Amino acid sequence: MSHRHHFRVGPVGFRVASDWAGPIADLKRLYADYPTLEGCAATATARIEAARPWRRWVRPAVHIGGDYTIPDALPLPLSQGLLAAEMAMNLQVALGWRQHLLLHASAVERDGRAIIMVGASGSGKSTLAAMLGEGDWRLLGDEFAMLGLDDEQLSPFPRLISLKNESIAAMVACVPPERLGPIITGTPKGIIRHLVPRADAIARMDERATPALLLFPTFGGEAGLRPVPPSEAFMRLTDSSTNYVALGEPGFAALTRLVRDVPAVAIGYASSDQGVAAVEALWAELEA
Amino acid sequence: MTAMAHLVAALRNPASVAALDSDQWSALISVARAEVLLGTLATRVAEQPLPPEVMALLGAARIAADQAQVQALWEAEMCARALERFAVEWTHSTTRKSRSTEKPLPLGLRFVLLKGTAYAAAGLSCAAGRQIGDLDILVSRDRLDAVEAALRDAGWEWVKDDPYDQAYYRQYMHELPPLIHSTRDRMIDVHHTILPLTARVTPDATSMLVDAVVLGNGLAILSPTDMVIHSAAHMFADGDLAGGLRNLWDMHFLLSDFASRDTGFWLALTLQAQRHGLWSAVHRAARLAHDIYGCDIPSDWVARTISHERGDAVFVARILARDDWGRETRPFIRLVFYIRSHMLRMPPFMLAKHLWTKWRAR
Amino acid sequence: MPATPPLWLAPHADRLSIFTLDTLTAVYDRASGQTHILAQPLPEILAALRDSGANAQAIADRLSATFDIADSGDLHARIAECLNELAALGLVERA
Repeated sequence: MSHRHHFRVGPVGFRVASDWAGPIADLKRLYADYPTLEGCAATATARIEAARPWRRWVRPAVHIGGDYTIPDALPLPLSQGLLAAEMAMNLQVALGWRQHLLLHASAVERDGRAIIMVGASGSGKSTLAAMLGEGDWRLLGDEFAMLGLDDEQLSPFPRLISLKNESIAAMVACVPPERLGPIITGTPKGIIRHLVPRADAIARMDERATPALLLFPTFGGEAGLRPVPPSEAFMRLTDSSTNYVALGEPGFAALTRLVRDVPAVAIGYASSDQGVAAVEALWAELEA
Repeated sequence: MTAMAHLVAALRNPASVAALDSDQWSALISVARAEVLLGTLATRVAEQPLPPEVMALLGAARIAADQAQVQALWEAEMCARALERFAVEWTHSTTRKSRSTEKPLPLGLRFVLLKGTAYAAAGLSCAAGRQIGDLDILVSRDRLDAVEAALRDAGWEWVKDDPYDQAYYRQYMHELPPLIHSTRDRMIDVHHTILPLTARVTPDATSMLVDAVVLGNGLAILSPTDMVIHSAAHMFADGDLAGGLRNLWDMHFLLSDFASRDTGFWLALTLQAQRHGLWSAVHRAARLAHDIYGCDIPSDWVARTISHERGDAVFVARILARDDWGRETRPFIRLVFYIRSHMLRMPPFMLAKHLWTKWRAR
Repeated sequence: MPATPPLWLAPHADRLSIFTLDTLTAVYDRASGQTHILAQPLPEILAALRDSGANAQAIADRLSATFDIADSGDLHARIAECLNELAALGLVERA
């Protein structure tokens, strides 16, 4: 594991070690503008490694791990090494982070107020966040929304955005190439390409925001809009959280306050442009 | 010093963490997580000046460990309710069965908490910050069917459903196949002795049930000597020494706490351990707790033969075999322990048959 | 001779954190660390047991006194069913 890198994303200090140079080189390039740990301890350690020493070269299989691992997880081919590194980092946060309530959601901010977009893979939350983040919005994150336990503030966690399949082309057209990662094919979710957040998202990663809208987006199918009652929002949010149960009462308090104070809406949309327009319209109505 | 050495130092002498730089903290956090000692570490250094990102992490870890204990003790409570309800129905009585010390459950349906949940239920020192996983209980072997029925009635289901694993557990192991609760998603391991039936040492589980101590809340734990003996058995005669640092930390506090309450403890422990055929394991555990954590043990316990010394050195090497990224090192030692642990559980020809059948099933 | 109906006990007042969401109620149980989403009349039954234990019929009487119950036929049987549900969640216990 002779290849290493360390950097900070929001409240999390990562150190990453790898048996291969390629994924670390990718991380160094794509996270170049992120703060270093600056003499702070790493609070998340990720590792991507070969199961046996010779498997570094012979049919290399990249095992995802770190302080926290999932037993029996299948390794990835070396061509997907950057994806493995990102997954390893996600795993450390998902299984080990207890300082905020974690929601599997993307989030964007404007004027100190934030939209939280909650959904499983395929719901379109990453693409929506990426597109809004290139417009009038600051990206807070695309994988995890980190909700403070005492004060209901969102702490930004702007990692690389994971674009998939059709959503890649639209973003490639409007961002400079140095903000794009390698094209990764053959993954279980199809083609993946990573996008570095815009400079403002990185520079302002320590500026928190107040949640103002909870969105449950669904890509594909009928366009439409439906208010979500607090009980449904609450249940869907607990489902989307990896650490709600472990946090106990502070998690319960934070989530009940959130659904009490913040309106929740489900939107269906057939194209990303339609989705962005629907979000902007909804926001305008809210702010009126 | 290695990260593992820093971990031992931090647990023994919390003030020592003042000298750590950020890289050393990163490594310490990784090995503490690997040894499932993060909550314990957090509790030990809570009063020390810490870098802010470390303080935030460890503070959250302590809260998480405490919350995990609440949930673990609840599992024990729900298990008690399931067995108690069954006991009432089983004896066809409608009067309330008290779980107080005056009216304990019939021996057949009595259950004794083991390991982490027991330490937490009894409020023992080693429970502070300790991360608890599954619920482990000990019951009488001839009431296994009744206990199994009561638990399944109350919502627990099998984790391993295939017939081979079910047969293996029942015939050779010292526990029922693992059960998981259908709605709470938590596992329970039901033991009827403390070592596998096929092991060469056969401790007396019935006497452990008879000697069990009933706590104020109605839950039962092993007697002090039996608790130490079980911990040592679990460490050496049963497992492959994974989690050794944590087990020895438990052992250090169990010995210290019990010895401070009862001057006759060491003698009672010696006699009881010999009775259960586990004297060698208990003696070794005490020596290692002394070597690694400075546990205060009688001088005649510290004294060791050449053979003890060699063996202890190998065990210490295994227990500390982790690099600064939290990975296990020294694979040859690990292989020796893995084979040794299986040898202790099963005679060689059965081992070969078990491994062959499992391979065939792939 | 018919068996005495079981007496049910609710947890101590400071054990639960109760938050009304809408028609559903979120309940955090400090003793178990579990969160439950309860539909009517489960939260109301818990409230009816707050001051003292009661059997199913007594609970039915307490609820009828406080609420306007539509279709009160066989209220007793429905309450008994709800009590079994609450017991399975660990929120009530038989005395």
